[in-house]
Amino acid sequence: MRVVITGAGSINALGVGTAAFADGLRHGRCGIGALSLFDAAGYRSACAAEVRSLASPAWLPKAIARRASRSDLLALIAAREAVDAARLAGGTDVGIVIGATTGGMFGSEEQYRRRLGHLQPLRRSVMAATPVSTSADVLARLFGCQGPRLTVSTACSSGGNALGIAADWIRAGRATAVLCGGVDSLCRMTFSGFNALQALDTVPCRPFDRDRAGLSLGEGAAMFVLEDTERAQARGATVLAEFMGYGVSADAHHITQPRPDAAGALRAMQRALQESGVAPEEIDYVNAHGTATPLNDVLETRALKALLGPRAYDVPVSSTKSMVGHCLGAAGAIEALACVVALRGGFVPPTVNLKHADPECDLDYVPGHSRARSIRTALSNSYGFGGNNTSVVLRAWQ
Amino acid sequence: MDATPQSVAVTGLGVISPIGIGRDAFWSALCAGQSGIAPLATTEARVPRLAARIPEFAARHFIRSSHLRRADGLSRSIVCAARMALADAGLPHALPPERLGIVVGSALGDVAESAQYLARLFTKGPSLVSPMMFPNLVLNAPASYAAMELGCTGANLTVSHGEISGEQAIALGCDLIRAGRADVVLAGGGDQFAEIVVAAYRDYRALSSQRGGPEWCSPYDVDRNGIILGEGAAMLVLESAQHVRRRAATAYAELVDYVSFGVPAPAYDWPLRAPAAAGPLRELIARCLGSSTDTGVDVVCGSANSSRRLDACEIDVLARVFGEAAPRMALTSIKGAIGEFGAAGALSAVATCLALREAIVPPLCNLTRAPTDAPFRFAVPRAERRPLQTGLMLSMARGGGSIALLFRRSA
Repeated sequence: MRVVITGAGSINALGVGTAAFADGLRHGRCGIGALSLFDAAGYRSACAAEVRSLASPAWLPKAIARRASRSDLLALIAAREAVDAARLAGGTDVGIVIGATTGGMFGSEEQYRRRLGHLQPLRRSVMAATPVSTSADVLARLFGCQGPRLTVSTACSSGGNALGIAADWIRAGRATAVLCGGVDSLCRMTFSGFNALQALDTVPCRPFDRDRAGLSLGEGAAMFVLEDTERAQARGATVLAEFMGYGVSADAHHITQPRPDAAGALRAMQRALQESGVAPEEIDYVNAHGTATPLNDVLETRALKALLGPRAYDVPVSSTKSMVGHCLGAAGAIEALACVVALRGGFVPPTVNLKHADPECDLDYVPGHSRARSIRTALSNSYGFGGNNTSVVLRAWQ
Repeated sequence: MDATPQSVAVTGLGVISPIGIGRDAFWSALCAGQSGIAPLATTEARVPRLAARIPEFAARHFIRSSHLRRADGLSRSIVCAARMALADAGLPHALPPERLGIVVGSALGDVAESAQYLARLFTKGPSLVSPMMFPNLVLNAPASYAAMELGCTGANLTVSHGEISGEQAIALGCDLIRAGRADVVLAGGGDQFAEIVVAAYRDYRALSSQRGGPEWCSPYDVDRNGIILGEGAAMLVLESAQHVRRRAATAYAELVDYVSFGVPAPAYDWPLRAPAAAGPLRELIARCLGSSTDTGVDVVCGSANSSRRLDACEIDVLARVFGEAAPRMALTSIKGAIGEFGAAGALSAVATCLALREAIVPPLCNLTRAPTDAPFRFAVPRAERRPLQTGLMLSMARGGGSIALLFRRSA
């Protein structure tokens, strides 16, 4: 059974809406700037890809607006766009699966900070949105998803896994349409954590660059409507792209370090291709995990060479984290959307901030500027903390 | 007995609970009507003064990997439960690592260490937080540590959906096997008791005695008045029917199928009533057991946790679904023994599988007054021997997410 994407929504540092995202990718705009969401004093880095001036939308019912976390708002805004684009009606056959890691942490950590310091607390309802599952719940409530419901939290691969699980549900007959994607918001917990691991660059991240020194955190959401192809066609829905399949693997190696032989990363890609019925020769573009850490970029390059052979040098590989930062639970979904934008727009997004070639990272990373190119099949990689690897395959819809 | 082609067998159980460490300790305490709810060492004047805490136990007896020396407490509990379950299943070490999957469910992860981490951040500043503590706080840390301990490189997923986190993990594990992504899956999860969890439930005004009355936990009881929190971890070994046959293993039960769905609920709150649940449940029963209208199941292990709202909602849903079959059905919940926590459903699943295998209905250990207007056979405060072929688990979370799993006794 074929699964297609009939709607998409986006919010991140490049702006609100898929058009703004596509425009930013095409023009190679960097959304990484100065952190303003909380005080950056004491951190080695003050860079982040923040969503500026996030506000509760007017269409949001008060009962939700009063308790919604920052993550909930991001998810709602992106989901609204996807649902409207797909003209998705709710029902018992409409599922929801969201990838996320921080949930309401941004508000809850602030509440905790105030309690610790005996300061004036925030409104008590802040804690209502603490768990990571509240975004799926409010989206389900608002958009009428009465079918299967799940929140997946596998660090940086959450978003990719959400899409894969959605497709599995449709293939298994558990749903005919699924609202799915990923969301995460910046918070002190994750910012301080990556900071303490010395994994944050002090300037906007530079994936695959010789001088790369770590990642830039970001925030945002990307949401999709995945649907059974026959049903989509029967109701005259616009198809944006085809979801071919996904592959997962575990490194079983270390809680932060990836396997030095990149075997887990390679296996996830191989499984994704196998399930999709796609040969490595058919891949036209790879959206890399590309976090700009010294280790990830060289290991991912190694894995891509193992997968694609000598042809690896002919396939454009870019990291859109150079533009929207690393959005953790949202990353896999945002990057899948970047693939959809590329497939539909006939261009490959660039890796910006890439100035100096690294002899160990010698593939074509599309430095600086996007490139017009008709692509048919895209592969997107996400490698989570603890060795949770996920790869997703998308194809243009003719 | 013929397994339906899509059934997934449960062949191993591992549990770390407030009433005992390991399957046997857990089950005998449960059947004896013991409760793990005990006074907290607290000087606080307000509730809660009771909780169901897990006893101290030596994780090093179960865990071999050196990685886990630096793991957080929740990860250690879950990995121990995983080791116990695999040993219980009699699974050989020669199992191809790529074909062994892991799915962990946890509502809040290691909150105790998260709170410690944040406290240090806010009192000492960003330069003095512990860098190695942070990776342990991600929700997928337990699943990652389990993979390291067991050396498995197959599908590895973590789910988190409040009070249905345990059930969700088991359901997803079942799906992975059916989709051919794994032959064996360790599925379950865990959650902790911590001050920060108490604060949240206090904010929801969900705790026992917050609205008056004595502090106690008695699911379905006429005089129930709120939740008592607990903690624990459980992992189940799920296996494809062919894999069980190939190694001539025995199973406790089969997970025939499940249904995941959502019911309307006030924003960020528990559902009041859930008539919308009746449809999905009836379809599940029909799919699994045939469409006869008087088909019931032998035992229902509900998620009732002594809250006024949820317990009533659950009884209402079950009455709508089963109608005239209800009086034959034993209804129980284990929250009186283990308290309420996100992944408690994983322990309920262990109890359901054991109930079917042993033909014993685990008791509602604190029940004093069963509702007289509800049509079910409420489990009495003592375990009851009954032939049991089919068991249903139903669980509904804050926010409306719901799930039901149907088990059948293995021959």
